[in-house]
Amino acid sequence: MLFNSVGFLLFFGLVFSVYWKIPRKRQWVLLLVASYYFYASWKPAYLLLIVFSTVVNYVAALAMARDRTRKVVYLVGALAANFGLLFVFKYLNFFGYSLSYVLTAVGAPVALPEWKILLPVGISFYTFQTTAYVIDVFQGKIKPEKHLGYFALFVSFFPQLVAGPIERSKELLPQLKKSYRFDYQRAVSGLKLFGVGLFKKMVIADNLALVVNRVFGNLGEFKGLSLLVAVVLFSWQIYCDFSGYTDMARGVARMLGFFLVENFDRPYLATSIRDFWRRWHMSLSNWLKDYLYIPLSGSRKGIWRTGINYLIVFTLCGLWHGAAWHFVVWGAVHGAFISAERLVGQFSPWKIKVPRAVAVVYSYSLVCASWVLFRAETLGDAWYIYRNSLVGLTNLVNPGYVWASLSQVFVTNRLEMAVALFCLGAVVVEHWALGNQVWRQVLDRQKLVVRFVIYGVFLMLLVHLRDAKISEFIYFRF
Amino acid sequence: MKLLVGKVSVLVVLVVAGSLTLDNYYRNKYGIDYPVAENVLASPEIDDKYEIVKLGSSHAQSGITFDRYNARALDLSGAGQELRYDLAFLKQYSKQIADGAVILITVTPISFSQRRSTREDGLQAIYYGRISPLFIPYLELGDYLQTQFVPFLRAGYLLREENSRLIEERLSEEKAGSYRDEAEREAARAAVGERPRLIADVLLGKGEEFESESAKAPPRANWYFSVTKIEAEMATSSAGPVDKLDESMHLMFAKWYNKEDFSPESFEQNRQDLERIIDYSLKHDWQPVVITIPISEVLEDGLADDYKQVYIYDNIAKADLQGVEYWDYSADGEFPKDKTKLFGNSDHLNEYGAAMFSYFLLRRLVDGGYLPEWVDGYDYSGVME
Repeated sequence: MLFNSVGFLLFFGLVFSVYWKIPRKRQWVLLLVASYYFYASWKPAYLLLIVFSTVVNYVAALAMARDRTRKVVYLVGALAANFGLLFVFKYLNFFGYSLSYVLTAVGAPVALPEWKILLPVGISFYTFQTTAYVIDVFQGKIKPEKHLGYFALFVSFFPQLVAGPIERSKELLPQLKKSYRFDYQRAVSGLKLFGVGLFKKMVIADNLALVVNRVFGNLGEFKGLSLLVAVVLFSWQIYCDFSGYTDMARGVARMLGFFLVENFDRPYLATSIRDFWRRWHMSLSNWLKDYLYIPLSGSRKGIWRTGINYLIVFTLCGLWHGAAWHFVVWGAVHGAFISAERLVGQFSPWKIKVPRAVAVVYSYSLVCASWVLFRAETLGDAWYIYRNSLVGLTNLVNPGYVWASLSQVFVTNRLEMAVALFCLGAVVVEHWALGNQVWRQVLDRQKLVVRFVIYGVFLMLLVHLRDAKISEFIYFRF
Repeated sequence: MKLLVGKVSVLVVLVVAGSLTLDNYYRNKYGIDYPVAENVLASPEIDDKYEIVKLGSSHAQSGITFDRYNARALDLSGAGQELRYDLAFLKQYSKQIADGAVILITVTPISFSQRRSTREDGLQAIYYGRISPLFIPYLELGDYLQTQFVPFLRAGYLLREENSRLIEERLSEEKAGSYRDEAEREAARAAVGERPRLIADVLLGKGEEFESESAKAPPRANWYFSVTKIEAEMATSSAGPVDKLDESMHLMFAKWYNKEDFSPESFEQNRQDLERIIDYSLKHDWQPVVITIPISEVLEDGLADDYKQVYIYDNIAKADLQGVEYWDYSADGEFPKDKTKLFGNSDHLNEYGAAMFSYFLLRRLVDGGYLPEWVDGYDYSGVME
């Protein structure tokens, strides 16, 4: 069930109510049952996978602690199980297609079977989470968790199960073992965070998606400014979609007493691509740094090896995002950008201090350009956008051209244009002006009535600007 | 906790009040009304119960007419309706169907092969308000609550949707002068008409998409129900031009052999649904009859020779009908399926064809003891004894 569904509201309402009523020592039991129910609601069979992953990593970690002479074997076994699952369920067909393609290209066509495998929700996230755990145990950074229940809850904790943030065991496990009293301020803080996330996802992301999907679904009809508008809107759509979901996850966890890591820190204020990855999906980039980049030698073996490491890490990062070549290329492009920035920084004879605004525009432009690869269905579509997005841009000085392009994108629907502009404005303001939390302090100082009016308006916008389309029967068969 | 719940409740009240205001504006602006909280439970018992019930898809919708059946008749058929929704409708109206009522269960050439809809298909949404949520598979609770209990919470979305639709229509009209030919104009008009339908339209039965082509034919003429005319038509041997059904035949061929939507993999599930309908009917002391409505000879000739054997008859044979009769009006000699004038398209009877077919069906029901003679309301004037 999605966080922005009625089913989840009912589910969480029940969990929240019962959670604060039961004996505190039993809170983890309720959370574990709720987490398994939450996961099974996607597909009951998925439970077997997460239980398997839990047991394998639990046993492997304990075995490593008991028998240090064979801890490499146990680590390899756990990693093989983790990534084996991930490979089978996420990448098997992708590699099959790719291999088929290559073999056909070299004149040795082979018909490889296509497997009908449903991708289990959240497998990429909990795989990375359990992998980090066993590696930390292997390296002696943490002791293995002996309590199977707590460990199972760590793996399956429902607020962050399906879309992160990817939590480290040393941060989350101790929290799960504590018992909590109801705290009004914490609950309100969590509820507000959840509400903000809901707004970002249901209002901003979903409304921008209408426009983006219209353009990306009919690329041949759009050129020039229209394409650029769609790409820019997509950059904010994906930010709001992902960060909104993270806010909801963190808000839900906070209402239960837990603090999950921040995952986004105003990424479009980054001054370089390297800085971007310190602000975007931070739990993933930290994971990649700790468990891939540093083991690959990080930046310890010279600039060229550092560049190669970045390429490897970000190519795999792209692959993690999706089993398709345009994701892989997207990741590789980021790796290339970062490598280039390091090279320029190291070898450039000119040490110019770039104004922050210029750096932000530079970084945002490159990120937007790479989002094309992420959003396009195929590399061919991405190439079309690159070839045609600058067509006619000299006409930007002509208001008629600008209006015509916008009219095409929004199908002359001024209401839709206004909604999109509002959404864009809201998220840009959140990014630039509200990041320093001052606004929260200002809001908290207002009288109760004023605050209620503001919250009421916020909720009205949430309810009535969301995409409330009812899944309707598409009369496709008859 | 109570303070938190209290404050949230106040906010909810504020939002509800604001939403009701916005909803009122929307309904007044566009003259729209929609029913709320209909058929949450099974339909209540009534005194004047139904004596004959029609189940099935568009074949039943357009192919059977109760116009001249002097019996309380209930039409529970619907375009694209799966067998399991037939059962859901029976459950919905179970208290309104008389003991001994005839239940016409239609099975078509695709009844057994059609893929069972999933949650993602969204089929369930068209049954909200028509069937109790207790009988609907894959109920989407949020969607259901929003259409049946709190539709005012969608006012903002509906306003924007209606605004978008009007803009599309205006654009289409503005382009009218620039169409190269009539075909292009019609295509554009059709595109505008294919907008996602407001759920209100569905609930109010404004179902353009759910009317088969035969329903767009001229209204039924009285002479359709003249037995003399029917007998005269039967006596003529002219088949009629086949080209008018050719295009439809090709369309049906392409659809029915589309393995994503229709395949033998669905046979068993659909057979079980048929058995459940029969079982349910028998337990309620109704008189179920399984029938196959005629399809045109043009279509039959276009399908594989063994199509009906594999897709209908083998399944009928394997199903446990519990002694219920199966009447196959698509078989040779049962109905003049070569007469193209009786068909709106290759697999649906038109108004004239439906009137004629319903007569044959009625006579068989009467002769078989399912219905009394006085139910026959066809016009016998001029018929020789």
